[in-house]
Amino acid sequence: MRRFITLLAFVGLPVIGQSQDWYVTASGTYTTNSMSQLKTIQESYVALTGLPLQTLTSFPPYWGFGVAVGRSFNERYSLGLSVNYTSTGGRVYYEDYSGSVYSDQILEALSLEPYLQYRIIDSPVWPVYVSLGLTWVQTNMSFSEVVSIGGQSSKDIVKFHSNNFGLKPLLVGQRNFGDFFLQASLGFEIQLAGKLYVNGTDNVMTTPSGEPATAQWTGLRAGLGIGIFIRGKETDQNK
Amino acid sequence: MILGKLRMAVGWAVAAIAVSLWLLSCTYTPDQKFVTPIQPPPSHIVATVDITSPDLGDPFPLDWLTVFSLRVGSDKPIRQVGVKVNGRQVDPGNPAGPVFPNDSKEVRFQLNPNDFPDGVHEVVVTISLDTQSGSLLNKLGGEYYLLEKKFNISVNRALPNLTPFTVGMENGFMTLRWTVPNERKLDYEISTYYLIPGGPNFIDRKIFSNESGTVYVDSGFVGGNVRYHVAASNFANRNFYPAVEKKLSPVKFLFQTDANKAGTISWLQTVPHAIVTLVNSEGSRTVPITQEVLLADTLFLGDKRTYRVFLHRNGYAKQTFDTTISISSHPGLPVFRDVKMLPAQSKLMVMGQSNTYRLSIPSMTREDSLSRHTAGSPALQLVVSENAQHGVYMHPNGGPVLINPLNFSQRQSFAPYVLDPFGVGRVILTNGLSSVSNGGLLGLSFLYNGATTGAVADITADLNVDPYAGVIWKDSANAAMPVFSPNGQYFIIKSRTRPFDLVYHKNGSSWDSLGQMPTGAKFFRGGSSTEVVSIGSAFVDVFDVGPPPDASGNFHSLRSLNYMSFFGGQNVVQTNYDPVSQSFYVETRDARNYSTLFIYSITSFSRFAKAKAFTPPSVPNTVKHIYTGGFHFLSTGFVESIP
Repeated sequence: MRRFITLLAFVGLPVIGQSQDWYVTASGTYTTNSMSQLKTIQESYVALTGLPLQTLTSFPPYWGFGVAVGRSFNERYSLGLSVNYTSTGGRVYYEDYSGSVYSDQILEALSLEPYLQYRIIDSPVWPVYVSLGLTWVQTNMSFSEVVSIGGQSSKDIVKFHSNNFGLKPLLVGQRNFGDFFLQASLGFEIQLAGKLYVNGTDNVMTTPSGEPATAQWTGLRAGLGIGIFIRGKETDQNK
Repeated sequence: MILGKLRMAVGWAVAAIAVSLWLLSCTYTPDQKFVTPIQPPPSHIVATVDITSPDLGDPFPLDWLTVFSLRVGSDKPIRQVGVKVNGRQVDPGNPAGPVFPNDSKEVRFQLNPNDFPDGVHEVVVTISLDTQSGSLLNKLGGEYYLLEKKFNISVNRALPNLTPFTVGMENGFMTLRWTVPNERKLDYEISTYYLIPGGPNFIDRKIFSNESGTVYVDSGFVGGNVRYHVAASNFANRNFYPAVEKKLSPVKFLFQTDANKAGTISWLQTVPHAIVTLVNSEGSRTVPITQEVLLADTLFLGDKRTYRVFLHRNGYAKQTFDTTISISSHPGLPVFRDVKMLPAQSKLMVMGQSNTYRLSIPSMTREDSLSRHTAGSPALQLVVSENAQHGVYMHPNGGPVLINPLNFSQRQSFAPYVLDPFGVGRVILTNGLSSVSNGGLLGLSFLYNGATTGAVADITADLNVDPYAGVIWKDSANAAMPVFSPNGQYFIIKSRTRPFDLVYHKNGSSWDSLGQMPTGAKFFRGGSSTEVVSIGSAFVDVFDVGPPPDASGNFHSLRSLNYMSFFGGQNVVQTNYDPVSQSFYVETRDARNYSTLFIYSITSFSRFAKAKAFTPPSVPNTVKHIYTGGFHFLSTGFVESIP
C-alpha cells in the first residue's frame, strides 16, 4: 500500500506541473465504523478460550489521513482523486503471576476514491463544496494470539484481507489564503463489504453463526486538511 | 513563475509524502493490559489417599476384574488420575481401564487380571489436585498438586484348596465355613440339597462373586438333612469341592396335657425368625416360633393323635422342615381280656392274651405274673371271689384252672367228672364262667351231652377222693350260668322256660328255689348285701333277695332307673355293674369311636363320674371299656384313675 501511495504521488506531479487549475490537499481524518461482526467474533473468542480474558478495546473510531488531487473545470465543478488510510483494532487480555494471554485484532483500510465536487457557496474566501466519491477499500487484518507462561511464550498470527466498495458524500468548507487554503469536511461513507479471506487461501473468516465475516467500515467521516492551488491561468476559483 | 510554483508543489508533495509515510506508521495499536493481582497457591498442602475398596491385603489377590476405589482426603478437587501397573500406563482405552474420578473426592478404576501374567505387580496411582488458584496456569492445567499411592496385586490363575469345610448352626442359622489362603477373592457357587427318601432334593443355588469371606449362611435352613455342594472359581478356572452334609432336628416338640386332658404342643425356640404350622385332621394353625406353644386336642384314654408340623422361615418355603408328631396316651398295662380288682388287698388281676398279672394299685406296679395260662388257646374269662381267696380262669372247651389270686404259685386244673346219660363218667369241658363265691362255689356252664349246661361247681372239693364231687348242681336243660352271691348263699339263674330269673338259696347241701324276678344281667351288689342289681335294656333295678318274695314268689324292685332316658338317640354300647365301687355305668360310643362311661351310684342313681376313651374298632377284638374300683380301663392296656 505504501508503495502504491508513493507511486501515485510521483505520477501526479507531472499533471500538476502542466496545469494551472489543479489543487492538492493533505488531510487528517477521523473515521467511525460499525464492525459489529468482528465485535461478535471477539466476544466469541473470549468465550471459547474459557479464560478470564477481558475485552480492553473493541474497534473504536480512529484517526487516519489522506491525500487528494483535483482539477476545476469551471466555476462550480471539479473532479479529483483521493487516497485515504485509516485503521482500528481490538484487544482481549489477561495476565497474572503465572503468565499472560492476549489477542489483538488490527485492521488497516486503504481507499482510493474518485470524486466529483460542486461549489454551492461561491465565496472568494469561504467557499463551500459538496462532493460525492466512489470508494474502493482494501482491508488488511491481522489476528494474533500470544500466550506467555513460565518464561515461555508463543505467538500465532493469522492474516486476512478483503475488498469493499462504497459511496461517500461530503460537505466541505474551505478558507482560502492566496495559493493556500484550509479545508474541513464532514460526511458519511456507506460500503458494500467483501469477505475477509485468509491470506493465500480461499478460506474466509466466519461469525459464530457461520456467516462470512466482513470489515464493516461504514460510518462517519470527518477531516481537516490543507491544500495548495496550482494555477496555470487565472481561474474563477480565486478571483 | 511557473517553475517556482512547481518547485513549491514538489516541495509540498515531498512533504506530504513524508508526512504520509510517518502517518502510516501510526496504525492503531492497542497497548492496554488487564493484570489480576491474585497470589500464587502454597507450594505444599496436606492431603491423603486411602483405598476404600476392596479391602486390600498386600499383595491384593486379583482373582477377578476388580474395581478399586480410593478416597482422597483434601479440600482440593481432583483434576486428573493416572494408573500405572509395572510402569505401564493404564489408560481409558485399555481393557484394564477405565480410570475415572467418580466425584471430587473419590477415584475408581478397574484392573483385569487377564491383562497380567501370574505374579506380583506394582500399581501406582497418581492423582493431581486442583490448586484452585484461578491463575492462568491453573486454568490451563499446568498448576496442580500431585499425590501418589502404591500397592501390589498378585495374579494367580490356579485355584487354592478351600478345605476344611465345617457346617453347623450359629446363632440359629445354618452356617458353612471354610478357609481360603492369601485372602483370595473367588466366586462361589453353593448348591443346597435336602436329603430325603427318594434322593437329594435340589433347593437352591446361591452365587456370590469376588468374595474374600469364608462363610455362607443358609438363611432358609431350619432343620432336616442338608447337603451343600461348593464350587469356586476365579477369572481363569473353576473347582468343585467335596460336598458337606448336616442332619439336624431343629425343634423338639413336646405334647403335654393338663388335669382336664387338654393337650398343648410346646417347643423351645432354637431357630430364630421361623414360623410353625400345625396341621391335624381338622385344619391348620400358624404361629411364630417365638410363641413356643400351641393348643392341641384333648387327649383321652387310649387316644392317639397325629400332627404334621411345618417349620420354615418366611420366604424359604422350599426349605420347610416337615415332621410328624404322633401322640398317644401311655398304656400302663398289657393288652388284656379282663381285669378284676381286689380292693381289700389293693390288688388288680389282669388277664392278658398269654399271661395273667397281679398288680398293686394305685401304682399299677406288677407284682407277679402267671405265664402259660394259655393251653392251646387264650384264656377267656377270669373270675375272682370277693375275698380274693379264689380265682378261676378257663380256656374254651377246657377245664377251669384254679389259682390263688394272692399266690400265683398255687395253680391247679379243676377237672370234675359227671356221668353222661349213659352212665359214663366224663370230665367236664367248660365253656363259661359267671362268678365264684368266697367259699369256692363257681357258677359255670359246660358241655353235657352236646348241650351247654348251667351248673354249680365246688372248687374246694377234693377230686382226688371223688372226681364226681366237683359239680354239685346242674340243669342240663338250661344253658344259662348261675350268678353267685359273694357269701355263696344265693345264686340267680335265668329261667329255662319263663321270662324270669330264678333265685336259689342254699339249704345245706341242696338249693331251694326262693323266687323270681324280671330278667336282666344280674349282679350281687357285693359285700354282705343281699341286694341284686338287674340291668335290663332300659332300666336298672335293685332287688333284695334277703326278705322273702311275695306270695307269688316275685321279688319286687327296690329302686328302678330308666337310664336310657338319659341317652336318647345315642349309641349305648353296654351297661355294666361294678361291685367294687357299687356303681353301674353306661357306655356310649360316638361316630369317631370315642366311648364315654357315665357312672352312677347304685344307691342314689346319681351320676358321679364320667370317663372318655378312644376305642378304635380296628384292634383284633372289640375294645372293652371298663370301670372298676375308681379306675378306668381299656382292654388295649390303658388305665387311668377316676377321681
